[in-house]
Amino acid sequence: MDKAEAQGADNPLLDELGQPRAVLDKLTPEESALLLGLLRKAKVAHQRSLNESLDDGLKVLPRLIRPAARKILFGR
Amino acid sequence: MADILTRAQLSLLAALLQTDAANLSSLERLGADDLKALRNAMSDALFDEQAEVFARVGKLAPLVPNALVVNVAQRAVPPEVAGRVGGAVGLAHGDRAIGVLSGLKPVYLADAAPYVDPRVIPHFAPRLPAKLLIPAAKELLRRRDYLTASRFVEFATDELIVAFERAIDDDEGIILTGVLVSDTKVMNDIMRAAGTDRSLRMARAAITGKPEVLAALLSLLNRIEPELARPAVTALLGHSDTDVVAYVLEVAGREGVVVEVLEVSAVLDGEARARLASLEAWQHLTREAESWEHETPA
Repeated sequence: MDKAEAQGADNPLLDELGQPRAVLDKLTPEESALLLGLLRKAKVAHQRSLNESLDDGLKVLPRLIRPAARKILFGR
Repeated sequence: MADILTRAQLSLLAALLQTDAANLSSLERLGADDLKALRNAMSDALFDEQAEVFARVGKLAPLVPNALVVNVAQRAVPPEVAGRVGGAVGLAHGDRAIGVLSGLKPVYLADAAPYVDPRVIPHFAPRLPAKLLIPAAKELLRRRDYLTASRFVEFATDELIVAFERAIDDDEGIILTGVLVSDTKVMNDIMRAAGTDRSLRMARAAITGKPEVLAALLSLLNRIEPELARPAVTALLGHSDTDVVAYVLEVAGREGVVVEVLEVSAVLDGEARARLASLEAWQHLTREAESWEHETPA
């Protein structure tokens, strides 16, 4: 295992974010893994709620502008 | 016990990651500044992930007039999502932002406020008119969301701070928001806008209110300029009724703000300081603090 790989295993959040290194270096491997797991879960949750809101928002737009809005948002 | 600012940063990080602050309690040791840097980095990563979608939403602007944006948002977009999207889109269409925000209900704005990208707040907060922000700020204080209020106050202009101070009658709210503001200059501005009478009123509210309010005020007073702190400190530690002073000291011990009280007592005039030093409760507190200094760190 090379050095970068070893560091990633010990501090996966540092591997993911890169900065602020001085702070991320202070995390234990367990804390780093926990935070990265939470970050990834939050990303998925944000994406899902955003997609749902875009769909719901389109439904309440006036019919006249709905096709153009859909094209801008989803390219179709 | 971690200090107030550290606990506040931990709560913000936990809220960002949609978890309970207790799950992150080991991070208290990092302190407020490191936690803030960590939260900012994680927040940036979350918002950057969605930047492309935000940009596409922004392209809808020419199609959708302000009234329609307001209607669609309040009918179909949860405030949490509106807060996240609205920051980025509002920044790209600054000329439209005030028009849209003016149409949204204060409750909706207060619901959305915690989710705004922290990088957007410094650009936005100074540009928004007080008459638009004050109803939402009152709503945040009504629901005791001082953390979110403090994130916006942090970047308020002097004029906005004066307007807030005049419009917001909630002394506890001002104290509990003010103590969470990490920029000392802003805290000075708040207390300068408050003036001596309001400052004394805040001290009275803290004495009769919950211990956490008194602890917050002591912490706040310790971080601002001595001449701004003096009236309230005198009302608390230089009070003519020694039972009141003893109560203040007891709360300081219980709520973990002993160091703050010892430091802030320096702003008292000589007579008040001598009276304080003669109190048994004060001597007890100073002995306790001295014993900590001699403790060997674990």
